[in-house]
Amino acid sequence: MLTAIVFYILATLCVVTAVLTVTLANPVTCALSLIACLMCLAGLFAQLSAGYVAILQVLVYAGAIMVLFLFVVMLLNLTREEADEGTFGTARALTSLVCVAFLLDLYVFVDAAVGTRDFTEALEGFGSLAGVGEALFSRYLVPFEVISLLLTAAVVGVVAITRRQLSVSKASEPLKVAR
Amino acid sequence: MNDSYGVRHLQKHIWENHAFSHIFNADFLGFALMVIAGVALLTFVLVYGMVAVWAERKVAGHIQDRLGPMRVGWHGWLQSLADGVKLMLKEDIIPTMADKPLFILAPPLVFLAAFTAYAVLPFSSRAQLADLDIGVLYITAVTSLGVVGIIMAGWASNSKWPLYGAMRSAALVVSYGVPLGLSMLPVLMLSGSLSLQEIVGNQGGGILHWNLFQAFPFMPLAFLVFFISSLAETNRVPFDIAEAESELVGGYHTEYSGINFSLFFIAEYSAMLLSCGVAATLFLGGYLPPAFRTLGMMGLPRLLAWLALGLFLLWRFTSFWERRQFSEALFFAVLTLAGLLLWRTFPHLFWFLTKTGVLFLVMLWLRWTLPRLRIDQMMYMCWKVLTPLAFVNLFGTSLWWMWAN
Repeated sequence: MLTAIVFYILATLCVVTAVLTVTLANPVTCALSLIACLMCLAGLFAQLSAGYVAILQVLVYAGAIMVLFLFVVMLLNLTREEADEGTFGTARALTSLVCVAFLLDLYVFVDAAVGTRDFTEALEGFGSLAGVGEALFSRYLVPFEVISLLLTAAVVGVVAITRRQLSVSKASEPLKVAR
Repeated sequence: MNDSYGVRHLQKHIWENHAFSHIFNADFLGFALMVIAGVALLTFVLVYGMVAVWAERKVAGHIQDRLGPMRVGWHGWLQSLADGVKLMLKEDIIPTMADKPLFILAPPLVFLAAFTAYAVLPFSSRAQLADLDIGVLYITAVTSLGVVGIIMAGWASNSKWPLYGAMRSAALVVSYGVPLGLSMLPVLMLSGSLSLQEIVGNQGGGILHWNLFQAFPFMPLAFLVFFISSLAETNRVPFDIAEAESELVGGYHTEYSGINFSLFFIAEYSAMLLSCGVAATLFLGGYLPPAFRTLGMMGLPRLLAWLALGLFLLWRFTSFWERRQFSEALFFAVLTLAGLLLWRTFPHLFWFLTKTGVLFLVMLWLRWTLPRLRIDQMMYMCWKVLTPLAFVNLFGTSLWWMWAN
């Protein structure tokens, strides 16, 4: 019973914070509610005894990526006018259309999945540290290495682009300390 | 004489037939026990933090040739309590232009991030709230959330100093998380487990089996990188630009007052003690005694330790006697006896607290010795010194591991 109570609390919070992420006007509060949403998701993963996935959810998304998001949002320093600028134009209409289509798709897919397949229990060790590690270094070794190569390329690319801009503005010279 | 039987019978009757026997099932009882244990841990962390604040002020005082707090209790040992009461009685000011909900939510979040990590810290082989099989990752994950609270505080204050402090803290914590994680990996490699209890268990058999003295010179290097990075993670000098008093007034907690301010304070010291505890667990054998006799020196270190303690006590008590400070002598005697009692009855707890305490003193010592680094120096230190060093170290440890196995 306790498990069910905790599940319903987490699930409700998850949905509420997810909706808040989209509807709140302020980008910083949006990002913070997304963090709350991710934390609730981590709780749900932990309830499914996928502890490692839960911890990664907190460590990678809530702890690292969202902190960078917040950092960028604060650097941009959006004012209220910039944040809710624009009216219901063509772009927004198109976006809404895409969203509705996506929702319908989702409904169709989920319905099909529930209708045709019965949900079997996950294998022993699913979502545990050993399970994820084994999957990464045996079955998914090639995709894993390719992704790491891709990420390295992205990092090098970012550094190359920013270095060029810096050298144009002559700001890359280190500060000189007066002695 | 049949009374005891009658009472037991009645209890059994109530237990089986009364409505609440269905509520008090194992699930609920476990939950209630967890809540009680959590409250006990919270009390412990709060007291621990208060003692740490007092220790910081005394060490600061003595390093600067002052006395530090002297008025409240013996050498001011109740000073933190007095300050806590004072801060609780102060008005809790919320700036008019602040984002109120976030402003109020930030200090508890920062404290929670430090406090929840204590759940997996092994104080002894049994005194541990939860022995997770991914304990090390859990601690890294939970403590990384503290910076979210700091950013919330800095942003919600709607003032420039807190915002600067929050941005610096975010940059610092995200950067230093990399060498911190990398310096933990050699330990995990040696232990073959992420459970803190197992990591400690693998270091049994005396001081020479501690992770710090394995795989020379790789593990000492890993310890160094870990310690420096955890200084940065807890925003301590020389990495305290997030709350640099001389530049940012108070950094992210400039606008806070009263109980919320004290929460930030306690959170910082809890986080410090936590990272000292984690360092002791990962590298210094956790709660295990050093067992100097394994060094093969016929108990010479133990003899020296007893001699030093005896001489110290003799010096203290003659001083008390000469100055006729009998109450202080009594206090000191009670303290010594309590320490000895702890050592004899709960040796695990004693050694864990001692190791944590020594590392904590090193942190304080550094704070009152080193000047603050500039942000570019800090980033240089992180990305161009510590991170490559940690990578090389990891590589070296794996080579050593392959050779040793």
